[in-house]
Amino acid sequence: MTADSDAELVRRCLLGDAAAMRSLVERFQTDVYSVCVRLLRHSQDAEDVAQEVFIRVFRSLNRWDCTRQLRPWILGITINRCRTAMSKRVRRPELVDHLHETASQQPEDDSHELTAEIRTAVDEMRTDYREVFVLFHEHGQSYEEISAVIDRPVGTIKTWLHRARTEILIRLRRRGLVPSTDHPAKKQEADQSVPVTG
Amino acid sequence: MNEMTNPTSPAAACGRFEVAVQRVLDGDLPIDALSDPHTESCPACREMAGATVALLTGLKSLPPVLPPANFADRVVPAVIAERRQADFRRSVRIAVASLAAAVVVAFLATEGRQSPQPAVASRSPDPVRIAPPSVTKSFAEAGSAVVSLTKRATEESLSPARNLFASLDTVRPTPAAVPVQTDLRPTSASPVEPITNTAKRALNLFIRDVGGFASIPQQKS
Repeated sequence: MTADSDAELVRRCLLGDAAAMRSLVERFQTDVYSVCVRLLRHSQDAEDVAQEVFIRVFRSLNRWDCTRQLRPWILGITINRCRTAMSKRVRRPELVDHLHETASQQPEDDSHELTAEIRTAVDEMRTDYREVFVLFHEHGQSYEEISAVIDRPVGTIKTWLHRARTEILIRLRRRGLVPSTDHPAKKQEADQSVPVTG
Repeated sequence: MNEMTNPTSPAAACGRFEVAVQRVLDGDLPIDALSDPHTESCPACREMAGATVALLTGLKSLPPVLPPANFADRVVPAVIAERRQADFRRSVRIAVASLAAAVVVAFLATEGRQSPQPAVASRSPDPVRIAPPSVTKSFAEAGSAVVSLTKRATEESLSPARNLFASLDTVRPTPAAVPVQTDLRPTSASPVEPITNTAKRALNLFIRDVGGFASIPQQKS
């Protein structure tokens, strides 16, 4: 979606067009909700926070700089609301509902154990590591975009992301999920040569 | 030259391979970059390369997280309701501010009319001055002001007449009036003689004109 169409959508939303509001929600609901789920690890909390995110978005939509992209701006609000929710959650028992283990989202192939291990590793990371890892590898945000969303220097983002990856790699090695036979790259012959970056 | 700075040392090779792993995960290098000869002789880096492949495989197979089907149906009404509440709160704030401004203006106007004292004196806490003026009292004060203004204007209009009558009452004939010119004929016999003379002249003129009008038909006949 181009920035111009985002600007046009925002303009219609500011005029009170309910259809435009719905279009904006539908355009970004997957990004917002998935980030909330990854960071909060609880579906009901994620849904509540995602709704709050959109209320905040529409409340401050007139302050959005139309020269910038809308998606990182909305993801920045999402990160901030998730942080607030997590800080409130400290006062009450944490509820983790292991979304990745539900039957509806369980992969059918043998990669289930691997994905579950990756998910657990991400869940147990430091919050700032988890934020940059999710934004980079699951939402395809660049270092610069994450820097704008998190409001940290690019160098810090790189450091956090490298540490997050290293933690996961060490965990996978400890869990014995690393292929030990032959050269590791040969195992990927059938896979695409371009790695997933979101 | 230590292990890290020596480009041919095993530690330096491990460092280069770690950088390559991060670049592969960044997407800057293809996964073939993990097929480094260094991994043949370094078990740690070989395991790191295997973990990297596993991580890339796992990230590809992560199930997408989708919002509930009716998420937008719930969010949009909530957003619209919140916007209406915000508009209502804004209207209430404006109304309250306007009312407060009107009360302050009325209070200052009343305060300035009742006690034209220095500002320092008016700062002293006085609960009687803080009390807002009542409408009845304001109307009573306005009525009193109108009455006083009317009364003063009436007094100013009547006072010359009163002085005139008072001066007429206090006129006394000169006790020893000595005639200077005895041959002069008195101009008037009484204070109203000029008026009576004028009335007489006007009546004579009227009678003459009426007589003239009356004689015209007689001449025609």
